[in-house]
Amino acid sequence: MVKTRRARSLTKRESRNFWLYTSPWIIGFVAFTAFPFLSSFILSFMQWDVLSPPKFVGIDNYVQLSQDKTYFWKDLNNTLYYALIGVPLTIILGLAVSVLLSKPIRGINFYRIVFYLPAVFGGVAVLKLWTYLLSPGTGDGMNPGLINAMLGWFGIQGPGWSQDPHWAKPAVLLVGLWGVGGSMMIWLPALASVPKDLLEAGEIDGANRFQRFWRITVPLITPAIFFQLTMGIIGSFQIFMEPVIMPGSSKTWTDSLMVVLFDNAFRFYKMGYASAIAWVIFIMIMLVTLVNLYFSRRWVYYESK
Amino acid sequence: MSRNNAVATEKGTPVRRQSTRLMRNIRLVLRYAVLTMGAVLFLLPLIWTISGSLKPPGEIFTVPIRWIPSDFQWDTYVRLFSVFPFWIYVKNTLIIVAFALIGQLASSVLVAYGFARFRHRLNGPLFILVLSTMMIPGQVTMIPQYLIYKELSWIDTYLPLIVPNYFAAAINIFLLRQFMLTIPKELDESAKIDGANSFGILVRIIMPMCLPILVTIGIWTINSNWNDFMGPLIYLSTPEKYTLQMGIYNLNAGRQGLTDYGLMFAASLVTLLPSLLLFAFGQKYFMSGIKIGGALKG
Repeated sequence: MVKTRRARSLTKRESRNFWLYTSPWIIGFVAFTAFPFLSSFILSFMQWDVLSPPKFVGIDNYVQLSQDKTYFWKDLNNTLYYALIGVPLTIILGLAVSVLLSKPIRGINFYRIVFYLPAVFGGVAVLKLWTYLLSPGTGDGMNPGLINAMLGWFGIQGPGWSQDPHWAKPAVLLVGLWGVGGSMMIWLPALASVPKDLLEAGEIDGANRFQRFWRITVPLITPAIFFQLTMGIIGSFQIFMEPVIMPGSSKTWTDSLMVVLFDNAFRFYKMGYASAIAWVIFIMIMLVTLVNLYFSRRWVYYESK
Repeated sequence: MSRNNAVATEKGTPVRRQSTRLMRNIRLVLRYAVLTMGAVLFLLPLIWTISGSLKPPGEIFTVPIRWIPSDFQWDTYVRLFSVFPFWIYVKNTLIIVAFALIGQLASSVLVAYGFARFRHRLNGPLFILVLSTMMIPGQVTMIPQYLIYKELSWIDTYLPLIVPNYFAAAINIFLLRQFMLTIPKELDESAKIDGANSFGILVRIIMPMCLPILVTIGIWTINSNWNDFMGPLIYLSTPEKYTLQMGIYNLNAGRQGLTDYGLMFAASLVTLLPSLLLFAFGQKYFMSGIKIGGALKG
């Protein structure tokens, strides 16, 4: 009897502690995630300039969005460009660099640090620097930045990069590729987890390096590829600083969905309209992730299963 | 290495072993060549900028590139502190970073401890909720959050940039909890017998053992708050309250049409310096973070 009472008071204390310690997250979740999440959904059916009271307008915001060719469709198009071209490029280059860095040869830590280094830099400074690195230097006596000067070594006349509507988006991707070494955090452990004896067995069976990589390593690291693909796509939907800073704030060639959202919310104070954009972004991310998850069953291989 | 040699001797004649060793050496040299080329390519932008910040104006964009300035302009860095309110921006940014760091570390540790150590039938479901919030992109909650802060009259103060850090980020809870689960519970028990309460156990036993993860989280928090651009852009309107990122963004040094590139480069480099120092300091933790990355996959 005494024992059960003590046991009960112990579980009571344990449960009290559980709530006590997790309470910061629970309060934050309710105040800064759950409540805003629901209210932005409701807001997306309203018209609200913050000053006058909100007005219910049904699906008007969404209808208006679907007709906005100058901003929404163009920026959606740009966002898809970053996702469909940028993400695969990042994955391929990141994996290639990591394969190079995976062998524990002498001095490898030095190389790992050098390739990782650009990934630690962020913020406005990096984007401004890259804008100068990518200075076009076409005619007008204007001299090029480093990239076009280097292309000049090989006799290539470099493009206008962020000052040219056709090259501005590749310029945005290029900055991202500079930081690709950061992804070795994911790739190196994945590569290390591929069993050595499997690769040796492949060698004995006469498979060459490329075949061994493609047939043995790649299937075994599909969970990491899947993770990078999903996170990469989510990230590419949230690109904001690059489009605003690189071509200069007066130009809209590189604008992403995040930029339309920001402009409508914090420059024009169209809170309802901006919330509708937020929900379009959210639904697209969800759809892409679910589609990704669905197809992943066909190509992602988990050892534990 | 020795194991490979053993395999080679087992398999065949010494002649064959020699040729495979030659092949291996050629491959190794090739690997170093590619690595070195790549490393140079990754570092060149940085070197170009450093050299650019020290060049006289006429030399910055010359072709062929002058890597070593003809005349070192050290005073660019001196001018940097006089041309724009550099120290005010630094001070503002440091205030935000410091308070964000304290909040993020303290709250993440507490919450992770709650999930790692105390049984409750809602523990599992709530933890899944923590993980699923990582899937909600920030833009969905951004506008209502702004409206809440507006309601609280927090606009144009640092509070919207600091306070959310006191409610523990999901990714940090996840990492810390995973790590805490690997710490044997017997350690807690013996401390309990010695008279420590749950908070004492957390501070004296668990936290010291979590140090590598705490340092990693700390570096992430400092870096992301130091580099934050959208937050200050949304919430700050008085120029005296701007952060360094806002300062750099609005920096248009030089007179009409004549951009002072040297100053721009210097300003950018100084802004990147803390990230570099943090990286140098946390390098061994980052590289052990490669192992943490392993826990994230699949």
